[in-house]
Amino acid sequence: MNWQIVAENWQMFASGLATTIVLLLGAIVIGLLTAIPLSLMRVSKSRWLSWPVASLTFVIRGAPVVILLYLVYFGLGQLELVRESFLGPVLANATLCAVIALGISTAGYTAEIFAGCIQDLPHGEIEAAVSFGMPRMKIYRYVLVPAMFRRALPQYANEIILLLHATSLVSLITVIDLTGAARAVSALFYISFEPYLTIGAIYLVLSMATQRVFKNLERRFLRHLRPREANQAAAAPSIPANVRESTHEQTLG
Amino acid sequence: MFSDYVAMVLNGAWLTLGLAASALACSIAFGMVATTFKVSNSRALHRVVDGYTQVVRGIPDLVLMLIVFYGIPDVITSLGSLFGKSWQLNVPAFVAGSLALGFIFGAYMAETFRGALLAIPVGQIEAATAFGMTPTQVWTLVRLPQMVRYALPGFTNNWLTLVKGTAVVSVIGLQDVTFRAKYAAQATHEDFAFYIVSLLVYLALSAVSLLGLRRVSTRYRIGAASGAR
Amino acid sequence: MKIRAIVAASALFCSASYAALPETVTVGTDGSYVPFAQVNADGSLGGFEVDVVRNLCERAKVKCVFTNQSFDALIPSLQSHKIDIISGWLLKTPTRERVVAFSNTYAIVNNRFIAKKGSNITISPEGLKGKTIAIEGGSAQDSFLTKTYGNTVNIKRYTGQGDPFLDLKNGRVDLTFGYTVQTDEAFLKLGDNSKNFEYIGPSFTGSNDPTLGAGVGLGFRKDESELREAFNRAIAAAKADGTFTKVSMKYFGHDITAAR
Repeated sequence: MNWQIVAENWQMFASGLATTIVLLLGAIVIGLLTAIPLSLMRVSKSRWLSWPVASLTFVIRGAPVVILLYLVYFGLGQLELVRESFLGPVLANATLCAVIALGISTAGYTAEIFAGCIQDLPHGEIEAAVSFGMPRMKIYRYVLVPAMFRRALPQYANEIILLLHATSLVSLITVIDLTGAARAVSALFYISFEPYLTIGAIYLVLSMATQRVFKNLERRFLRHLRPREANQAAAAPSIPANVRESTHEQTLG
Repeated sequence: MFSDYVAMVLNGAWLTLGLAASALACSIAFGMVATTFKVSNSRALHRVVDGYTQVVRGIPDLVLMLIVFYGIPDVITSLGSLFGKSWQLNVPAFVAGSLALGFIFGAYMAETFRGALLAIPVGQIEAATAFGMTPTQVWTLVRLPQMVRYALPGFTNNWLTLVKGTAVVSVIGLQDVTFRAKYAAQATHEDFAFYIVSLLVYLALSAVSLLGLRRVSTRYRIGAASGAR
Repeated sequence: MKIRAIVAASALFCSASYAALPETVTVGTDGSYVPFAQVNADGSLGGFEVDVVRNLCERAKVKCVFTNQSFDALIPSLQSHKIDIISGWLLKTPTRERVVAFSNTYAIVNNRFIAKKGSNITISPEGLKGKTIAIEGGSAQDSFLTKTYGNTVNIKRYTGQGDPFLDLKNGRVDLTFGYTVQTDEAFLKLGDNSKNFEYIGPSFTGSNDPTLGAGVGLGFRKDESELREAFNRAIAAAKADGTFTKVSMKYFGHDITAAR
């Protein structure tokens, strides 16, 4: 086996890992920032707001990530109009294109997750806030969005794992992430099993770390859903002895 | 000329569908096995399925496909040379894609099937056993038909994600829609147009799948009470 | 005398019984190396090298099935028996000679840099500092650039040969580098690219740097010597009766395989 080739080229893998993490975080930020307003529009009563967003999320969720990456990098890059515009310098950078494409993809899924969670919210909370006279923005900020985040946590954790998987495709648009580093090593030294198994293990660790982060978040924010703990049962008051005896006699008699 | 290339890209949809169907079959197989392990009483089998789910969540589709397509043949050849033999395993791209995608989506199907099995009212199983049905009869006459109804939403989601997942197989050289779009773009320099065309193909596949599965779901809901029962 | 004849006859007999050529042979190409290998509108493969290899297959009396894959997948596919012959305008570099057995050379390649007109870039490690260059990943040109200028220039690797030209055209990269016949046909001769882009710097061949390879040949597995010999004979015959020249005239208007 050629594990020493992998070990000798550890810098390529390290640099690829750094790129993967940067892409993941960048896409998460873009995704979250756009998904919140999108989800609010999606659940709006006005058809003018909800239909365009529904169509947009249908298109984004129906597009394979590979196609989105190709479209943003090669497709938009080909168009004169885009090149001349203010987007030109942004799209000239492959890493930025990757972050944008991944951000768009995750925004679509996240918006649908958030929209579903908003619809599950007990309407009573919103009614109470309205009756307090809270302006709409305050309701969103203090009541709706925090409650939505809480409910969305499990599904969102899943979405982040899928986003991590999606980052592995950016080597198709010349961005060298962890998978790109493995493919480069494979092409340079004509070995395949060692580099791919190595990055498989690294992705596994990344995924487990992400799941751990979300488990901690869930423990904190979904505390109210946890089963009752042992010390709470012990603290419950006990029935006085004489009362118990009398009921016992009554039942048997 | 341009329209000929568009037709070429559209023809790739057959291969995309074929691969998706093949991967679906594999994933149902993997998923059923995993579900039976998970509902069994054996702790060890539970751990096996947990390990399976962890691996699938951890390794991206592309990496798994590269391991199956390049890595495993590489290992077989190296092992062979260790023993002084020249073994070779040639995994065709279609098979590598089906197995890799089937393995990945098997874990998702296992979750869907398990949820569906648990949703069947226990009273029906008890009644069936009381009637003297053998476990196999309970499976085929009571569990499986009802499982379909409960599993359909999750199944639909998995199918849609699977169809999109086939785009990755273009990386290992399978001439699906994505592969053809790329080479049409290289030949005509009309990148934007062809990637839009391929996007439309995938959207069409999604839309048709959603409509079809909605009809199936309506049919299976005949006679069933809606809501939690 | 007689013994020699018997030995010769038995050797021929032995080699004939071993040398059963496979009936069908899979040929791997990179369909983005226009016009050497390209995907036609009906999905079939065509191009200068594809046409030539089809002819060679007829002469070697094997049925050839062509497959299209990314360039950097060609050698791993050969090694894992997915394909039997590499026809990817493959340059015979020392690194490749270690894992691949080449046929006889049928063309010599010279490479030049292309940049935007008026960019005034000097081809040297200092002159290329900070510039970005687009190249098809895994190519001999890629190895040459990495070895010679890898420390100063920023190298972007692509999966096809068309994408580097696209990024050069839309200004994402400053230069690209490649075989002048291919860059002429696939880029400079198209549209008004020749008005905006030009060759700069000297021409590089395998004699300047062995990393660029000692010419182009077909790639075979090391243990398939009969197949390779059959194709060597076919190549010699095709050169002798002018087939290479004829196909070259059809695609390029001149003979690119002429000896220099």
